[in-house]
This record gives sequence, structure tokens and C-alpha cells, in this order.
Amino acid sequence: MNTTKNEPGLEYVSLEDLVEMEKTKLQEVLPRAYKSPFYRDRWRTIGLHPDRVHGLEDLHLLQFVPRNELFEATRRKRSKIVCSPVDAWFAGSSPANPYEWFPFSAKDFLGIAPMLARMGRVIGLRTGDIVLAITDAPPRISSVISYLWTSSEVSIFPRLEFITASLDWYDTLAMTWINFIQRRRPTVLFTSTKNALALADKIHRDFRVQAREILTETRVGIFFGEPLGDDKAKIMEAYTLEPYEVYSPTEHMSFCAECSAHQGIHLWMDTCIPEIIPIDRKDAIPIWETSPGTTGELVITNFAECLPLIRYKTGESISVQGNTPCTCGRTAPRITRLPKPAMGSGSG
Amino acid sequence: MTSMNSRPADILRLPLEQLALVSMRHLRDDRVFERAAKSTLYLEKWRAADIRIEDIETDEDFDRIPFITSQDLRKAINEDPLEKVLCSDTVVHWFSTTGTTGMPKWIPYGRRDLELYMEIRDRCSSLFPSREGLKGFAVSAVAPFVESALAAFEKIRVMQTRMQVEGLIVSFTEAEKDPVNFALEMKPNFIAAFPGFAARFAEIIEEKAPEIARQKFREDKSLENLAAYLVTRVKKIRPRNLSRYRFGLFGGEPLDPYREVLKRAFGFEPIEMYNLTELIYPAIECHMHDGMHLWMDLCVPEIIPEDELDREIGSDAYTPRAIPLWKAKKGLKGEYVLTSFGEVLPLIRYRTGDLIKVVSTEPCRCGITHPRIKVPRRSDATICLGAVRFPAAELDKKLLAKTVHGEAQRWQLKIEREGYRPKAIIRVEPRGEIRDRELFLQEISDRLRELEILRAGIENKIVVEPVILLEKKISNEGRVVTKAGRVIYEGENGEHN
Repeated sequence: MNTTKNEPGLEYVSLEDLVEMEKTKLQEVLPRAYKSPFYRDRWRTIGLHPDRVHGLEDLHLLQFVPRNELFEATRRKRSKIVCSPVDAWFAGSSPANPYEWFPFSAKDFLGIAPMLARMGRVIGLRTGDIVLAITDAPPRISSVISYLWTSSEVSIFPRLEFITASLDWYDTLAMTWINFIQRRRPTVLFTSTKNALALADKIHRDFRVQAREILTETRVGIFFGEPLGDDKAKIMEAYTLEPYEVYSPTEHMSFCAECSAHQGIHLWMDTCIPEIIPIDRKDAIPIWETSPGTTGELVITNFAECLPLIRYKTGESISVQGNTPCTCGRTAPRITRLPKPAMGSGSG
Repeated sequence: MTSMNSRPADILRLPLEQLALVSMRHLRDDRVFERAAKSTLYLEKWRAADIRIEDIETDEDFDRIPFITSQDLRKAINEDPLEKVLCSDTVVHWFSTTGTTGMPKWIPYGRRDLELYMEIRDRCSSLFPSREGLKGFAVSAVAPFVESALAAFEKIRVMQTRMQVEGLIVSFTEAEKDPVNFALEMKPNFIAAFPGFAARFAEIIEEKAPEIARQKFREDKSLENLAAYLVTRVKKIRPRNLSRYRFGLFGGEPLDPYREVLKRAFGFEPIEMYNLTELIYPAIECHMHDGMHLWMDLCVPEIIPEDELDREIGSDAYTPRAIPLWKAKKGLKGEYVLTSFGEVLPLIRYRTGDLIKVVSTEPCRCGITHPRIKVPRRSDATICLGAVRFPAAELDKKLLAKTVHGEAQRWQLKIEREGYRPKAIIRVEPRGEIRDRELFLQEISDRLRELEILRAGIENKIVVEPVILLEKKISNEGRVVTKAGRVIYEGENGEHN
């Protein structure tokens, strides 16, 4: 989401160039965000006009946006706070709120497909992979992701095959889709951490075996939603696969992903300006200026068309892994998500 | 796999005979038989019938090709090596049927199949005024059912075509939760749903309106909110009173039993569409609302007339004859047989199990020449209570089970409507003595409630609680669906069909 290009080359652009790119995008997004009463009213209360923000060094002039305030506004004021017409609404969730509504323009929504393609490339999916996508029911955005993934020209290679299923209908009526999964033998499991564990439990309940005995060919697991964290051990006990963690909350569908080096999740700098509020500070620091090991809350400014996030406090506790190029060659900063997020994961 | 060679406007208005030629030409151009012949789905059957693809030239040759059934399809997909069933390794998505007729069927679609779906979706959309600027919601099933994918494809396509339509997708499993409230607060002007759900949804609005209005007044004691609350105490609030609906698209079960209810509730002329998991391209009503146009350039449609189906029931050895749909007479009812041109798995003379009625093969008043059909119900042994469906064999298990109070030997199910809701009247005939009539009926009723989908339908007020009657001798009226069971669909020849 929110990218204008998706050439693989972007993943290897130097950090300095990525920062330059962000400066330009920031100048574009702020006047747009100012159209939204949600931002305009906040900024007016401190007498700030976006014209005064000349670059990333002025970002600190803008207040943080707490997660609950954002979703309170989308729930109560809906289309009145957006910067462009809404084409779709989807709902994420948090422990505090089962339905956190978020608006998308067509550009925002269709822009997710290239990010999925990038994620597939970073993880190393290949033609012939069969993806078991376990999704939640609408209005969760995961319900449409596998269809969106295949809807774009960018997703022709690698050629993937999808079996999309919901745990809601795992064993209802005559529907026992796991039987077909046993036959088709998917090579990739694409789901939330929560659903991966729930599937393993169901398989254990029904077959008295670990999930690996059913998903015999599954070599890759792509886990979004909740942080993998402590659950990684449980997943590795149930499945035989290489787990890849993805960060992509409903409000920022950028599919930031681990690469095969597993040295943290690459935060795609062409989709957002990531900052961190270290646990011992109240102000935020651009992530690319932090030292490895810095821990705190992730703050995001992105370039969405419909409702951009401007200094949005994600509620996500992270630790910076590194800002130097990864062994895979990609330059985007790397983070680790920490368990027990401050406000929930925003899983969609 | 087909693509439309004619311009969209042309293909809609080609004379029927030419459409039939287009349809048959796709079989050749897309090398459908050549591709299908490699699949184990056809291999044995065609060999046994001495079908050689090089010999298939005329309609008579085509007529010799054996039917395949959902059982054949299910068996091939579930038991044969999949690489020997599929005609290509380009599967992009698998969709599943619900399994209401037994085990679910998994159907593969390739990229070109899905691109064609988008084309046909555009064709259907072009039959109606532009949806630009509409806002509303679609009630969808969840994956792996095809409805889930089609709701997503619709959303994606609308965006790709840069049409501005604000919408959200709601799962029918969350129908009474926050997503529907969120959709309602949007002041929607379109809805896409199962008609039974939409009718129930209208009732829920009616039931909840006073409570919501009172709550709003408590939160904000404005004159406007007071007036709204007072109105709900004296007037039935329908969806049309809350929002100006302009467009309603309905599928998944026949629309006719719900059409008037939906018109009154929403204030629009509902539009009916029909598709199968096995052939996702929708047949759809035009603005004449006189049957759904079945697109002849996407398949070779045939119909097995009802009298042929009855002969088949009487004799296991009898193979019924199908008629090309374009040659069928107005009013003919029978089982829909289709031949598709699918990229991954073309279906050749596939008996869908759906009962269709030929509304007309004459050009429609809208100018479209593709035949028009209705789909009253399944033609096989599936019990259809609107969207609630289950195999008749399930009724055998529940109704004929031995109980401590006695046992039944035959049953007859009559499906009526109470308002728009399907209502099952079940008559059971005892085998020998029933020791306690009331307890016996109670036990049967409890067993019936074990049918999960029926119970869910009753609890969600989509269907009426069945009535079970014990009769010494039940009549032979109705269609035989199991050795012990018969079904009568009330209004079978009436306005509901």
C-alpha cells in the first residue's frame, strides 16, 4: 500500500536515498492530510499548518495520533474525516475493540497487490507453490487478500495456486476442508499467528497428530496479525516449516516481511516514515537513526490516499534489529516485534 | 476456455442460432474435448461409450457424450491423482461447494477463467444504470465458498474500473453484529445478499428501530431524535425509511418467494442472479425482470426435461435425454446440464443437479437474445428450504431412526411458505405400533434439530420451525427422493417458479 512503484530495485536503494524519497512523499502527504478534519483540527489547536513542516526534521512538530483516537474517529465520523472518496471499509481488531474500521481508496486497496508480490519475492515463493491461506471472515481485510494477490499483473510471476479457507467453516456440515488440504498438499501456509495455532489445535483434536503430519509438504509459513514472539515455539512444535513474520496491520497494509536471513522484519521505507518512541523517552526518533537494540513503540507516517497515518502510534512494541543492509542485500531497516503489544496488534 | 470474439454489444444481440454456433465453435477453438480427454474425469466414461474426440462433429455426436454428475466430479477430485484430473497446471484458486448434497466439491479456476469472470461481471453490470456513487454492503459467505471470492472480485473490479462505489463486505456469520450496524449508519443505497437474509435483515431493522431511536434520544436529546423515536412507536420502520435504496442484487436461492417482501422493505426492484461454484459466470436478470439471461457464449447449456428425470427415477438403467437449451420450449422444466470451456477443468455435459425453468428462448424485450431461465430449486435429492439445504438422506436418518416409542417407515415432506419463510410440513407413517405418540414426535423433532444447518436456519429465523405429523397412511403424492421419502414443493407450478 501507498507505494508508487514496486520494482525489486526499490528494496536495494540506499538508506540515504530512501530517506530522500520520504522527504518528497512527506511534502505530498501533509497537504492531503490537512484536508481531513481529523488532522486539520488537531493541527489547528497547536497553530500548525503543514506548510511549516519543511522536512523530516520538522516531523516532531506534528502531534502523535493515538490508536484509540484514530479508530474512534473512523467509527464515529466515518467518511467525514477522509481525504479522498472511500471505496472500501475493512475492520481490524484489538483486544480493546473487536471492530476497528478503516477506509481505503481504490488506489490504497489495489496498491496492496504489489506489496504482496514483494512479500512473496522477499520470502522466496516460487512458481508452483500452493498457498493455503487461512483467512478471517469479512469485514476483515484478510478475507480478500488472496484474491487481491492474484488480481494484478505483478502477481503473474511466480505463479501461485491458492486454497483459501476460513476456520469458521473448518468442520461445519459436510465441509471438512482439511481433507482436501491433505490431498493438495500446500507448500505455503499464509495466515495469522492466532489461526495457525488454532488450526494446529483442530488437527490435533481431529487426527491426534501434529499439523506437520497433515501439512506434509508445507515448507514456508507466513504469519501476520499477532506478533510471532512466544508463539513461534508452539508453531514450530506443530509444523515443520520455515516461519516468516509479517507486519501488516489493516491500517497500514504494507506486508513488511522477514527475508530468509531472519534478521528482523524489513520495514518498507518507501511506504512509510517509521519512528520509534523509546521506552525511556516521550519523543520519537526516526528508526534509521537509532541503534540496534532500541526498544519502544512504533510510530508510522504513511502516504495513503484516503486516510494517511500521520505520526500514528501503532501500539506495536518493537526492537530495532539494524539499519545497515541485511545479508540479503535489502536496505530497509529491520525490526523485531515484541510480545504483549501496548494496545493490540490490529490484526486483520 | 473462451474469450469473447464479438464486441460485447454484438454478442448480447446475436440471433439465437448464431449464439448456438458461437457456443459450439468455442468447443473447437478452445480445444475443449482434446483437453478434457486427458482427464480421468472423462477417460473411462468416454472409453466405455466409445467416444473419440475426432469424431465429434455434429449435434448428434455431441449428444452421444455421456453425462458426468457431481458424484463423478467429486470422486475424481477426491480420489484420483489431481495431476491426472486437471487439464492444466495453471490453477490460481480452488473454490468449494458447501457439501449440502453430501461431500463438498472442489473446483479449480485458472487465471484466464478469472479474467473471463471479470469480463462477464462487466457485462452484467452494463445491463443496469451505472453504480457510480453508490454505497452499500454485500453479505457474503466465507472461504472456501465461491461467494467469498466473488464478493472480493466484485470489489476489486469496481476499483479497477475506477468506479467510485463505497462498500463493505459482511459475513453472514456476523449478520447481527457491529458490521451490519456500521453498514446501516452508512445510509446504504445498495445491498447484495441471499434474498432470505435480506428479508430477515429488513425484519431485524423493524424490530430494532424503536430501541435504536430511543438510545439515540438518550444520548442526544435533540428534537430530531425525539421525533425519530416517536415515529418508531407508531410506524413500522423499514430499510427504505432509513435510507434510499436504489439497487439490490440477490442470489444463492430463488428470488421469487421474496421479491414482493424485498420490494416493500427496500423500495427497489430486486435483481436476481444465479451462478454455480462449477461455473461462476452469473446468469442475471435484465431490467425487464423476466428471467435470468443465461450466457450462451460461455457454455453449451442443455436441459433434461422433468419427464425424463422421472423415467430415470423409475429405472436405474435409463439414461435420460437432454435438449439443447436454445431448442427448449417456453415453460419447460428440467435439470440444467452444462458444458463449460474452463482452462483448468472444462466440464463436459455436467449434470448440475439444479432444476431450471425455461422462461423463454425468444429475444427479451431488452433486446438481449440469450435464453432466459429461472432456477426454482435443486433437481436432485437435496431438500431446499430456501438457502437451507441438506440431502434427503439426512431426513431418512432422522425420521426413520428407531426410538423407544416406535418407528416410522415412510415420510413425506411438503414445503410451504409462511410469509416469505420456507416451512416444512413433515408427515411420517408408522411402522407398527407407536407406544406414545407425543413422545415419539418429540423425539423425532429433537433428532431433526440435530441437522445443524436446519437448526441454524430456525434459530436465525430464516426458516420456520418444521411441523411433524404422524399419519397412519401417507399419500404417494410428491417426488421420490429416497426409498422412504417424497417431497412436495408447494406452488411448484405457481408464481414462485
